[in-house]
Amino acid sequence: MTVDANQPSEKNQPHTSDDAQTLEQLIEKKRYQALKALLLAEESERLASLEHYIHHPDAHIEKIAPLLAQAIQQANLASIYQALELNTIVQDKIIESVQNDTAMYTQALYPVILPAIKKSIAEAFKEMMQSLNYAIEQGFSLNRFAWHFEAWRSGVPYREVVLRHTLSFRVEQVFLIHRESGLLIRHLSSAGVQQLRDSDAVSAMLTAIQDFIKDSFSVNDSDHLDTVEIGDYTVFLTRDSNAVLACVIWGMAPYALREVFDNALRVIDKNYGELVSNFDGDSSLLEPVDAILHSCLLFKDNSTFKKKDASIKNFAILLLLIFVGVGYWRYDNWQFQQRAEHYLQALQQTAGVIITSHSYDGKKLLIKGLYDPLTQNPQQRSAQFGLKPQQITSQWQTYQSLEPFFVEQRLTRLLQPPNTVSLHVSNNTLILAGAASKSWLKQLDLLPPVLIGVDKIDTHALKTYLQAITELLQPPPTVTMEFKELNLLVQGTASLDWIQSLPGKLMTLPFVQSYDIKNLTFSEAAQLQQLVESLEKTSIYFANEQATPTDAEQKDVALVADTIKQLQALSVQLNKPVEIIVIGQTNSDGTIKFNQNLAQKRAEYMIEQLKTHGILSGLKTAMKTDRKYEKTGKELHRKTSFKVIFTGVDE
Amino acid sequence: MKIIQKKVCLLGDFGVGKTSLVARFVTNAFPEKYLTTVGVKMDTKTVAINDELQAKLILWDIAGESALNTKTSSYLRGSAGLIFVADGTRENTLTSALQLKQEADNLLGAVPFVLLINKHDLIAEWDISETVVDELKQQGWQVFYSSAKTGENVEQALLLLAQNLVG
Repeated sequence: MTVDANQPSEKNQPHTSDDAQTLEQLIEKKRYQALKALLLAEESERLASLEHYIHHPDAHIEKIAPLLAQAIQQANLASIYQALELNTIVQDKIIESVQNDTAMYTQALYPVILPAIKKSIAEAFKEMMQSLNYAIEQGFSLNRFAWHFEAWRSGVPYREVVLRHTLSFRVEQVFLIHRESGLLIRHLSSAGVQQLRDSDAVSAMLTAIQDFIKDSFSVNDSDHLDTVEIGDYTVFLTRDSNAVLACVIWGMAPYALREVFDNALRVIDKNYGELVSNFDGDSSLLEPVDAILHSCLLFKDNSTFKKKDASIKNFAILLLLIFVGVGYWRYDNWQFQQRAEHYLQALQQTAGVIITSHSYDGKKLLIKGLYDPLTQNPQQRSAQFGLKPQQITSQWQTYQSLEPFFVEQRLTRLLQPPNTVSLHVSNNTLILAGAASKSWLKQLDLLPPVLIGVDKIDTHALKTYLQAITELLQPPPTVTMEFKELNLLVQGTASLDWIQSLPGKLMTLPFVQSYDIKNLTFSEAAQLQQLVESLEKTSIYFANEQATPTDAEQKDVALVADTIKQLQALSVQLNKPVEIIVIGQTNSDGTIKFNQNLAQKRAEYMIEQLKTHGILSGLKTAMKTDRKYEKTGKELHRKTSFKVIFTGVDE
Repeated sequence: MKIIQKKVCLLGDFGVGKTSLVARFVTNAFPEKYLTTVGVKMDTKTVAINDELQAKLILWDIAGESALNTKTSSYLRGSAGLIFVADGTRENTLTSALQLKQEADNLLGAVPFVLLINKHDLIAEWDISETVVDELKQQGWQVFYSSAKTGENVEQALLLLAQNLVG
C-alpha cells in the first residue's frame, strides 16, 4: 500500500484552530509515515518477515532442521547435554516413556534387537559346536580319559572340562586391508610362521574373494564373508567402514576372538581412522597400527596344542595300550591256568590226596577231593604255586590212606619205637628191625590182633640191645658184658686191640649212653708178665772158670733171645719200657777180683750172643758172686741170669 | 626407500591378451585358474619411480568382458589406475575398451589409465586404423602398441602409469 501525503483525508477537515492544529499534526504524522514507508520499505518487509519467522516457526522447520543438526554436529553433544542439564531429564523421560508404553518400544526395537540376539545365540552355538566337534574328533584320544578323570576329580561337568581343554588356537597372521581398494595396510605374523611370498597380492585376492562371495551369494548389503575355514585354519574377517581385519587362526578358533578383533579395529578407527580412510598406498604412515595388531596375535597353548597327527598317535598309543591290556589279561589268565594245572598235577602226585573233580569258572579253580590228615592240607599248598585263596574254591574231606607210607606213619605213632628200630610196611607186612630194650620188645606181644593195613608182623631182625652189642663187639670168651639202663659194663681180659676198638664201636650204638671197662684187662700185659717171669727164671750155665757156656747151653741162648724179643715187643705195644739186666754170676771159688772179672765176661759174652740174635739194645750188664748156695751146688751159680726192670713211670 | 602401493585393474575384451601381456613382467601370485573361477587374479609389479620411491602395482587381472557386470564392478572399486587392452587384429575389441573406459569413468571418476593395443606383432592382420588412435591421443589418451610376444611397450606402459599414479 502506498500513501499520498498531499491528499488530505475526510477525517482531517479543519473546523477550529484547535482542530487546525490537530489536523496539521496529523498531516505531519502522515507525511512522516509516508516518508518512513518510502525510506524503510525494504527493512520493513524484512522485519515483517522476521516477525513471521518468529511467530510462525512451524512454517520454517525445514529450514531450521539442517541448521540445528549442523550446530549439534559442530558442538560437543555431551557438553550441550551437560550445559542444559539434559542428562537426568532425558533418562527420566525415557524410563517414564518405556514404563508407560512398553509395547511401543518393543515394537520399535524389535527389528534391531532380534537379529542381534539371533547372531549372538548363533555364535554361542557355533562356539559350542566347534568344541564338541573337536571333542568328538578327539574321542579316541587319551585326552578323553584324562578329561573324564579331571572331571571326576574336580567335580566339574565333563562338557566344561572338554570346552576348557579344546579351545587351542594360535592367531598366526593378521592382515589390515583397505576396504575400498583391497590394498594391504599392514601385515603381521606370529613368530615362526612361514612368511607369505606376496602378502599384497594375498590381500587383494582376499578382497576379491570377499566381493565374489558377496556378489554371488549375498542377499543383503549388510551381509559379508565373516569366516573362511580350510583344514586346521580359520580366517576371521571383521570390518568397519574403512578397513577389513583378516586374522588367520590355526586350531580351534573361539568365537570370542571376534570381540578381540572387533575391538582392535575400533581402536584403530578411533586413533587412525582418518589415515586409514585416506590410505593412498603408503603403508609406512600406518606403522604405529602394528602395536594394536600385535595384540591380536593371541594363542592359547593347551597340552593339546599339537599338530593334527597327534590324535592319530594317541589313537595308536591307545590301541597299543588295549593290545597290551588284552595281552596282559590273556597272559595273566594263561599264567593262572598254568599255575592251577601245576597245582592239580602236584596234588595228583601226592600220596594221600585224591581229586574227585575239578573245573574252572573264569579265573577260578573249583576243586573237590579227599586227603589223609597225615599229609599237608591241599588248600594250604596252593600258595606254593602262586595261587591266591580267592582263586580257588575247594571242598576237601579226610580219609585214611592204606598206602604203606601212611600205615607206617600210623604204626610209628602207635608203637613209638626207639630210634634204633626201623619200621616199614611191605606187602601188608610190618617189618621191624634193629635193637630195642627188652621192655619195648615185650610190648609187641601186647599189640592188638588187627592193625589197619598190616596182615602180619616180622620181627626176626629185631633184637635186644645186648644182643646188638654182642653182635657188634664180638667179645672173647674171657669177657663178660652186662647192659643195664643204657650203661654197658664190660669185664674180663681181652686183647689190647679189642679193648682199644671198644670206644669207636660203641659210639656207633646210639643206645649206649655210657660204658664201664674198669675191670677189663689186657691179655698182652699178662703175657708180658709171663715172659718176664719166664726170663727171670732162665739161666745159662757155664763150666768152671769159663766165660762161654757149654754147648748144651748154647741152645738155651736162642730161647732166651726169643723170649727177650717177645718181651721187648710187648713192652713197646703196651708202652711199658723195659731194661733187661744180664747178670754175670760166679760161685765163691777164686778171688773176688777173678770172679768179678769172670762174671763181667760171662755177662758181656751173653750180650754179644744176644746181639747175634738181633737184640741190639735194652740190655745192661751186672755182676754177682753167689756165696749162699755154695754148699748146695757150686755149678748152679756159674751162670748168667736175667732181670727185667720196667723203666717207665709206674701207673 | 619408500614404497607406495596402487591398485590397478586390467580391463579388456575376451582374448585380447591381457594375461599374456603382463605375464612376463609381473610377479605371478596366483595361477590363471582364478580367472575362470573367481573372475580375477592378482599379480604385482614393482616399478622404480626414482631413487627414493617405488610404486608397487597390485594388478587385478579381471576376466575378459566387453562390459562391466556386478562382479567386475566390485573388483574395480578402489582402483587407482586402469590399463585397457584391445586386440589390434579385432577392431571391435577397441570399441569394447572404449565402452569399458566409459563405464569405469562412471564408476570411479577420472583415474590415470593407459590403453594398450596388443598383438602388434601381427601387423599383417591389423584391423585398427591410425586415425582412430590419433583421435584418442588427441583426447589425451596414453596409447601404446604392444605385443605379448615381443614384450614391446609393456614395461614402458606400466612405468608411465606408475609415474602418473605416484609421481
